Amino acid sequence: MTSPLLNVDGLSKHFGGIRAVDALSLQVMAGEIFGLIGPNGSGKTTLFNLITGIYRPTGGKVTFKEQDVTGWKPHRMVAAGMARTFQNLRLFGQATVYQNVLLGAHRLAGYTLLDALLHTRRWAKVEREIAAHAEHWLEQYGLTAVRHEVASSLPQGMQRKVEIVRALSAHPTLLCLDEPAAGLNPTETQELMDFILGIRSAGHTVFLIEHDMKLVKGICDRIAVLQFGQKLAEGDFATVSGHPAVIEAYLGRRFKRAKSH
Amino acid sequence: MKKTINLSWYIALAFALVLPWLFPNDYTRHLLVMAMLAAVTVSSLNLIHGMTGQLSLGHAAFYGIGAYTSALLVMRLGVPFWLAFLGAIALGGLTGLLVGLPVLHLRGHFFAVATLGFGEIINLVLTNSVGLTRGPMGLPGIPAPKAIGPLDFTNRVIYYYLVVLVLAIVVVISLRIQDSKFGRALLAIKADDVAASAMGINVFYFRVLAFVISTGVAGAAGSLYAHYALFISPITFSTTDSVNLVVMLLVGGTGSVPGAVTGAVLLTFLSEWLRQVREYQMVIYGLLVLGVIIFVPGGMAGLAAKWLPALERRLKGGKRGDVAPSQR
Amino acid sequence: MVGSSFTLNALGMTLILGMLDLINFAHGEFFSLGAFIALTLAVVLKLPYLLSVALAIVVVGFIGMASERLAFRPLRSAPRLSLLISSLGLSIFLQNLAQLIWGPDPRDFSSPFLKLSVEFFGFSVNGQRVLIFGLALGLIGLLYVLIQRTDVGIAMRACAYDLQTASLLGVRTDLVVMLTFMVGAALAAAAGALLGPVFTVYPTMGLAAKMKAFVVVVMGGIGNISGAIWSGFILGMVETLAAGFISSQYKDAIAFIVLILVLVFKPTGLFVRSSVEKV
Repeated sequence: MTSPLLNVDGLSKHFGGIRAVDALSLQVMAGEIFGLIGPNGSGKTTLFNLITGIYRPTGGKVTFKEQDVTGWKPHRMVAAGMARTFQNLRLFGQATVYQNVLLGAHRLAGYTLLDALLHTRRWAKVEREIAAHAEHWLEQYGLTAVRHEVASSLPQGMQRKVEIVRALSAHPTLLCLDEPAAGLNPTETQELMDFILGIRSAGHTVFLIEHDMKLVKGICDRIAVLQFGQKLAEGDFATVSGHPAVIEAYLGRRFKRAKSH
Repeated sequence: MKKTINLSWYIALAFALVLPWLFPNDYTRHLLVMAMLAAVTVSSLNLIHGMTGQLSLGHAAFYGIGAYTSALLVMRLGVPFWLAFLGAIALGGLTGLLVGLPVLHLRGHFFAVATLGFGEIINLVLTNSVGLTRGPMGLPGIPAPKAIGPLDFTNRVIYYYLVVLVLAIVVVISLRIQDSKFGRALLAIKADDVAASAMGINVFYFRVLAFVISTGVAGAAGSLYAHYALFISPITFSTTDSVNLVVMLLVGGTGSVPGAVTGAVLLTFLSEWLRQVREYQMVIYGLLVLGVIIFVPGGMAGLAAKWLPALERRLKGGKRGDVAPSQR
Repeated sequence: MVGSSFTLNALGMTLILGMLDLINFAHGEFFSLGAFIALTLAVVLKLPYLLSVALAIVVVGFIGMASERLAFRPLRSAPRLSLLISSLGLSIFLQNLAQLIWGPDPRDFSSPFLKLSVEFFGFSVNGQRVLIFGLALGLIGLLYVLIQRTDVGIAMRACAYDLQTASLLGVRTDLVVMLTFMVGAALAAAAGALLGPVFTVYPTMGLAAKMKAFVVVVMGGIGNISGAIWSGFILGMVETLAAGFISSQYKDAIAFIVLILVLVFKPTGLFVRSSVEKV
């Protein structure tokens, strides 16, 4: 069996007495779309924050590309090949779409301060490269028309897309999406699903948190269900949705509400 | 690719070079030197406050460290001015590093208060190390830089040109930082540090880097001041002076390189002019700060961006016009 | 004893900080205005000392209210640093206004309590210091009752917790913020008017006072009232001890060193468990 791209092993995060994530283990394999579902407050976003380095775990281990990355800072995680989006959109609102995507490519800009101050040939070359790189992404994902729009002026669905493209422009192996369909209408969600499938075909592994069951059912290869910071079940949609504990704890009571989100 | 340094900067430089000849009296020329010195210092403040959003309320202390370092190196150790000037930059930057490392992870007003505390402590050290600095009596008899051929630095105009040269270098450094991944990263940190870190930006490293450059430049300005005024005392480097620098930057437009220069020059002359009304001077000054922050929070640069978009584009060199989260 | 006046001053600051997230640089000026107004009333109008103090507190309370209305309300939706800079402007303005009115030279402010001395377990303590301590405790108690027991206090706490939510719940936030400024300024004025006779009164006296208030506020944890009370007393003691044992030249530096140490190692204050920002 091939080793997983991302291996979360007994990961915990306690805030005071609250166990937001409690001895959680899961594996994301290269090339799959892995979905994380669970009721609000079940620790999904906390888990993302632990994996991407925004929080330091209380205990447990995160292995990414067979490398122990537990407790790494976010910028190191990006350098290791992991990029993310945020549940409540964290675009640089005052900056343009192009500038947002350019910032996403920050890690690819390999020159020193001295290069920038002296405007060396390397500076010029790298700046040209990442500018072209950003344009390429904008074009590939159909954002060229809005590239000079101020990000915060775009509709919600478009902003979600820009945030994903911004994350993609860091060339991540693993792309972590925190509720990408939140605030989208059904048409936009359908577009988003095709979009995510496209990202996977382009060679990225996708790890996403979602409330929208249609999206989860439609595109996720495997799913894990979280409750109270612990994993209730893991497997494909059919397995998970048939799991008694899940029906009891989540789908049984919440399916309707989650669907109406 | 757009040019970082465009035509309007060359025009500004030409204007700055002609200025002393338009005002052939010693007093105005003195003010011009002081204005350019202020422009260097305010530009240094802009490197940290304008670009990262971290407000340093102790910047005058770094200016003071530069002044004392340079003066003492020349007077006590007989080091030539130019080396002492580099020493002032190095020690300014080093102090910035030592101050910045523990407190740069603090956000917003905590950083402001911490730098204010450091500024006060540095000032107290300058005041109380009587053996080294002569304390509150001040340090008189600082020599001007030695003449290089026909360039006699006791001549106001020549010294003015020296300061303008340094200012030009600082402006180029600022603009080139803005136009690189460094400037983009700093602006991203200013807008949202968590999102910035998720872009792979090492937030703490960039803050420290910006602060060290900023305090190094402040040190350079201090050195230039010491060898121009020929007398320094701790009073010139107090928290009040730090606040003054913030006000100059604010009036000019936080985050804008031309704004920093304009604010410094404008307020140097304005506060000189306000001296005529002596006792009302600082009262008016206080009202000015209130007026600017409430009614024109973007400062001169903000006004320019609002009223003269065409001019603005030229002033700031094209694309930067559409970033400027500083002008929120 | 001195600690109790640190506490008074800091309480005013922490109230405002907790509510608007504003480090109020003009706070020291409320302090010095309190001293000046009390002095003027007592010396020029020959009013009794305690009445002068009381009037000064009221007048400065209104000045605090007016400053909020003019200098801070227009910036309610602006970034926090704009508020800070606005308070810097207000501070420069008020300080120099005081200088314009009362002149730059230090003045003596005599209080009838200075001549008194009180026997206290065999130590003789200056009457003014006993008065400071007593009144400070009284005012702190009053503030506690105001915040914990009255409708206004509940509204203030709601606003400090979240201004927007409070306003959705029907709290008249503008009024509450203004009242908070009034109470904050009045507390600072009380500290100034009480400390004036112990030291001298001069326009820039607020600078040291506000720096110490910062330290106390940060030590106690932002907006944390009981934290500020303890920190005020602790800082008073640390300063007195340090001045005796280390060096009186660097006495003023001690407050700043404490400030930075707290900021570096425990930025949430000494009396709270650290919390994590929600992402």
